[in-house]
Amino acid sequence: MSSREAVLRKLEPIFRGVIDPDLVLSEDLDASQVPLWDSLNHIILVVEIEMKLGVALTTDELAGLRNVSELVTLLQEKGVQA
Amino acid sequence: MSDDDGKLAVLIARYAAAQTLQQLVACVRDYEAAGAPHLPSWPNIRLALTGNYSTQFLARGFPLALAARHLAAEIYESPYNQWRAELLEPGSALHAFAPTHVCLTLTSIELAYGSLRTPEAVVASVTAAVQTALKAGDAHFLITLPEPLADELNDNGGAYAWRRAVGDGLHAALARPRVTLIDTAPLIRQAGAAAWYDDRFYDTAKLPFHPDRTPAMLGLLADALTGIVAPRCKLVVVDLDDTLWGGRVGDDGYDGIDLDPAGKGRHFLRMQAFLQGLHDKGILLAIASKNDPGAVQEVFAKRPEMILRADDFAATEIHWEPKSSSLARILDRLKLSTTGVIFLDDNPVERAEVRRRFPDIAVPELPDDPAQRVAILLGTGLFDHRVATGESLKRHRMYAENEARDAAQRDAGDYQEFLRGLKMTMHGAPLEAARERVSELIQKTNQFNLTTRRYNWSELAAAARGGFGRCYRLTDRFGDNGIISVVAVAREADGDARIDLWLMSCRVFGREVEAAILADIVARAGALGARRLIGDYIPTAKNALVRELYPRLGFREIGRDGTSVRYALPLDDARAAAGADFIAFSDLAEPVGAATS
Repeated sequence: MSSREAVLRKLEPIFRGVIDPDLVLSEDLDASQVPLWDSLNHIILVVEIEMKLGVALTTDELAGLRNVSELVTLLQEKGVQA
Repeated sequence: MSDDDGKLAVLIARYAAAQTLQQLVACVRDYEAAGAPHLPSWPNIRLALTGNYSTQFLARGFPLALAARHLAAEIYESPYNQWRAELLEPGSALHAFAPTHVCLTLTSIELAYGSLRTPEAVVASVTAAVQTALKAGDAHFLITLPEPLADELNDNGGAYAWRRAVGDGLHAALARPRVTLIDTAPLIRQAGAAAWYDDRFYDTAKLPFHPDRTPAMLGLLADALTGIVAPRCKLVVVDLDDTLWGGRVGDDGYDGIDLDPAGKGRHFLRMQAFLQGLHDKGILLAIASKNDPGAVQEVFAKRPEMILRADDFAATEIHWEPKSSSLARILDRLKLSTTGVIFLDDNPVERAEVRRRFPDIAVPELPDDPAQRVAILLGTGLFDHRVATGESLKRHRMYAENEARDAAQRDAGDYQEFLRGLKMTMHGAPLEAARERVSELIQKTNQFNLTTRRYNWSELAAAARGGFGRCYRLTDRFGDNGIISVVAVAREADGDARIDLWLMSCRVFGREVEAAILADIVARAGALGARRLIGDYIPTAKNALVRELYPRLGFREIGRDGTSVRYALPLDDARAAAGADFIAFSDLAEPVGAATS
């Protein structure tokens, strides 16, 4: 399992809890493809990611993260590992 | 309870436990999926929510938050920051919704940095909008006062002055019927500034607090609305000893209880001031105390520190019967149902006994530390009552009279069941096992004390010579009551055994503990070869409680003089040894010192 894959597996339960219990998270997914990934659920996602993965996001990061691939890259930069 | 009611109860429990936005939203979703159920008996409200920040989470949470408070609500939410237009224009969507309640919630961030800015402009703008809307309909307005800006933490007082000016101005302009102003500052203090403020979410989502504070904010608003629609609290029934003052007046005397404003007594005074505040708002107060009425009267008459006065209480039950009986009588006398009744007692056993018989009565957990109690009570939300009360109390009386008070008529067999459920165990031990506590009880106990002999240790040993001395510790499912009773029995020359000393903490009186102790005394006296057990009652100003103890336990009077009454119990009488079967007995030879309290 690549380290990107490992971060993805950590994100998946968070997305499932907030958006859809059956969601399969993949790197090519972005908010426009997931109807329930709206601005309100996005706030919940951000809060849950910060809490469960122990990272702090800046204002710009918090607003900008609308696709999974960027999110994985950012979390890797912030030291989230397997 | 039907399956649906059960599901609703589970959802409400999940809502009550929700600490984060995710937890809140998850149970709100399930509530919506279940069709947003409510009970037909709940009051219906139509709530319009409007403000100057993102209120979507609040709007979505309101139906469940209000269901948890037994209100059925239909919600209308204004578009973002449209509060002025919505309130001012008679044809607005808000007015078209015909709300019964309007919640106007404004954040200081937008007010202070947006178009209004100055306190004068904010007050004028809010006042104009609310006054116009009050005329347009008959809705009640719940308005949150602008919250402290995070800047208050570090600027030179400017942000504080701004908020004070806005708050004072709104209070002055909006002190009128159908308007309730609430302050969010206490909630923010409670959450802590670090947990509350988070600019990132204001900048990106127009949320003036961290998203995870949504459940707390929703709770504050829902509590306040409940206070307006159906005031929760109409009667507070309080215990006295260790609740309104420190110590036990029966033992310590009116001049021995703690009401010292410079010491721990201050926390009891705080409790009294809190209750006085409720009383001033029209909430009824009553006393349910296991106590000596004369001693209590003395406290009210002779302790000027008392904030509450005897005539602040609408009903008083002071005796040694179960507290649930006291509550039944108070409700009967005041013609009230159990709705909106709160019972305060420092003793977990009393709380459990009341809860068991009156599941509808709110019985908050009072911590042992009196310093924490008022804050905990405020945190329960039980006391929200922000409405002028003359009218609401009248309404309560009216519906109360229509409700059956079957609880008051439930049979007394219930109390035995309760005692059984306490799972009491008595641990007997030699006096030496808890020397300090035994000495303390001998010096301090006044009420359950048959002979009130203030022995020192050698006198005590002399009193039990040829006989025995025992102390008793009581545990129950709520924990350890510590050493609660001391007995010294002498062997007389004529072969009788005589109870020279018998005292007990009145905290456990009324639980048939005394019969269990007697059974142990009888067994031990029998083992010594005694044929009769003698007991003396020496009346004092404070021990009327046990005047009838020996006759009640099966003793017969055999003589009296000016200072005492003597009783005897033949030891071949089988009845004598019958203690309550629901109190287990265990004899400890080893020290029980750690259990003294």
